[in-house]
Amino acid sequence: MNSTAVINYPPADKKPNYKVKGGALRYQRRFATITITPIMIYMIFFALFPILMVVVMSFFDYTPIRQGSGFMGLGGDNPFIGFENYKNLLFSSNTAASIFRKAFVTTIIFTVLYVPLNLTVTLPLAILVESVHDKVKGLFRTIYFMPAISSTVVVGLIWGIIYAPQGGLLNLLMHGLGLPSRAWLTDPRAFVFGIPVPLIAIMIALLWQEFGYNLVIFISALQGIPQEFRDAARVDGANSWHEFWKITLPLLQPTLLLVCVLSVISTLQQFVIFQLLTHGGPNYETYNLVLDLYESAFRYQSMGWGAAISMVLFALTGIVTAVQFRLLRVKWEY
Amino acid sequence: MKKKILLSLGLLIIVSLLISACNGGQTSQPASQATNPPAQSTSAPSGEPVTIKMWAHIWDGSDKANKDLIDKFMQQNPDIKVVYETFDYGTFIQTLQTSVVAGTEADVIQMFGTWACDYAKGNRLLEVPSSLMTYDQAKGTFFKSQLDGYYCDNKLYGFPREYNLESSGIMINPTMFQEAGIANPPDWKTFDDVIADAQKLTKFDNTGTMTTAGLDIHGDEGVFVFLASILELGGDYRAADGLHFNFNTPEGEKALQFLVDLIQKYKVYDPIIWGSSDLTESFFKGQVAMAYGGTWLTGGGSQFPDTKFDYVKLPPFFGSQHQYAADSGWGIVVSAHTKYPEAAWKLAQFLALNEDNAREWNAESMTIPGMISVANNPGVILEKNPYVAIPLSSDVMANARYIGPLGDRDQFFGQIWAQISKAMTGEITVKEALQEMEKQGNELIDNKK
Repeated sequence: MNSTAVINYPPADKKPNYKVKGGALRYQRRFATITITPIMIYMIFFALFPILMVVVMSFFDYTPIRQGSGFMGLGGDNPFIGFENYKNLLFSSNTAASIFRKAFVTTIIFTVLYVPLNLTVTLPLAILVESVHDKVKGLFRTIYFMPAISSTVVVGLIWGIIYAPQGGLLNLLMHGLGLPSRAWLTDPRAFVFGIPVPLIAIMIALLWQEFGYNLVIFISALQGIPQEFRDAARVDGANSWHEFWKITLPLLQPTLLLVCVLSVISTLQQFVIFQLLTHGGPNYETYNLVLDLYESAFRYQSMGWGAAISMVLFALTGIVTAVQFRLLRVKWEY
Repeated sequence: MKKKILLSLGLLIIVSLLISACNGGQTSQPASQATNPPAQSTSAPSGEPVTIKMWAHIWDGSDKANKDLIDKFMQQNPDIKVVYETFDYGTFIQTLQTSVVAGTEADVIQMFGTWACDYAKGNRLLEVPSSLMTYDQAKGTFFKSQLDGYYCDNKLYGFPREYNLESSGIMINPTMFQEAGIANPPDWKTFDDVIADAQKLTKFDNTGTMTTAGLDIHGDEGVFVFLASILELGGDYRAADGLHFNFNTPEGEKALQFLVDLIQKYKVYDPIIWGSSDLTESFFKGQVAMAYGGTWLTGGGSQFPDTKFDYVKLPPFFGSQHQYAADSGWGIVVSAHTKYPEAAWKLAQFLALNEDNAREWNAESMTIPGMISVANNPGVILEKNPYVAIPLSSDVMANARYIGPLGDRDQFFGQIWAQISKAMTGEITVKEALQEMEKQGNELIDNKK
């Protein structure tokens, strides 16, 4: 008993005709619909609805400890205030708004410094790992990737021990060199080129944990560059330096875009390492946007305010990602 | 058309499900009902025993005592089953906030007194039935400085279980005292004597970095010292309206200068090294010779059995009498969402109003009694924690007053300490710090009015 679906493929300039009765395609579509519907419902419950609630909540002076009058406690004692939260975030002189603006600047500084630093370390390292003998290549990759699979909490504890002002490994090293100890994470007066030392300390700890991810992505991209291109360049007299700038780097552009976008999104949303190492201190020098929204919403119970902060973070992430796509996109493949 | 109808129906079902899920399957009570207990009932309609839930912040001694007392309660009340659940501090705050919206919080909550009015004003707590206890009766039962955390807009919302006190004593390292040739217990007449000994105990390495702090006062404790100093100097940290803060006074300036001098003049502590570390940990690791705080600090000793410690009496910071602005500590409240208010109040009464039970909880949790009769007759509390004798024998418990409304308790302490820290490290002047503290404190009050 053969059941054969007859599919009339449309011309290339026309939409396909999906109105096919019976056969495998119908079963395939039914199966797909049945399979994705529960996931869609799950996403509506646990992704779309919370996102919409955050958007709505950002227009209310909402705190969960007050009983409001409407849906989800909005309204009544948790009144609708329009764009007041956003206006205050930008222009108010109150403490919460000042802290937000400082957190915004800290987040931008951290991202602007960290992402290029990450790429500057991981790309050359990937090229070096790719160029070592095949027998040890796997070993290098494994060792470099190990911090990336460690829990951020563990990484925070390790670097907490390294940076500890009393008996910390870094200060023991400083002592060995005859230099005075430093409070790497807690000194509000320590700056390097205007950047707080505790922020730099967090950057180094995060780089140690995260560079393995980008390294692996770069290695696989490097492996995808056809050897013929390099051979042709060599025949034309290119040295390693020319090869890197004229062959490797341009062909890595799609990967660079991916790594840049992923790194920027991840950096803008960093929380655990900040919370573990400094709690945003000293004096809010390492207080970023995610810490601010967490503290506002969940510690200080100002959820409307926290929701507005999260919308700003969302907009910032979207804009930066769009700009990156615009600047780094390529229209070719190899 | 048919498809559109089906799609609309489907969406309607999803939205309905969402709404019911978010309401936790319950309808929120209007404010008028929330403040007055619904029809009193101990038993479920079917005659089955009712099940009520109790939530508490987790800490060893308190958990043991709560579990023992709940077992005893259930034996005496076989018609009530109590489910006891605990959370660490951060999770407790978040769980409380989110659950009160959904109406899924516990019936009985061991809540921090200074939080209680925020929840009460939001109609999240039940008022104590006058048949159980009135405010006037409660004033004769509990220390007023603790009880007032539960007294909001002339209504009583709960009972304190402890006296939250950071003053009148200090934890010391007797080994370091011996090495520095200081007597233990020390014979301190004034706080100048304490500072002189702290200087003897402070050590530096050859690069000038402090390796042992003589006297550690930081974080919330630093804020308590600041407020207590203002009171001991005869001033007040509240403005004339009794609600807003007024730190820009001669007393406020002297109190903050006192804390700044500990760092800049006497050099007995370095806030950059220890300012964000855990007070008990730095003490028990031997980095700090004297750690200022309540008797609860000594509980940390169980994790560091090799470190010797003692808790000794401390003179006032200024003058001859201790004064103190008390944060209201852990106590018992009942949720406005409880289906069984009678059972919930019965448990609250059993835990907080029964003198023997109150004493047992204080003894196991190593806390200072919030009930006056227990403080007068501490019994087993002193066997478990002899250090409690120091605040009990001091004038501080009687002299202390409730700290008053703070807007948000944790935010207030965090922001005030940040400004004190800045003044200590010389980033801003004392006057600038006072102005900023007053501005920030008043913003918190105005935001939560």
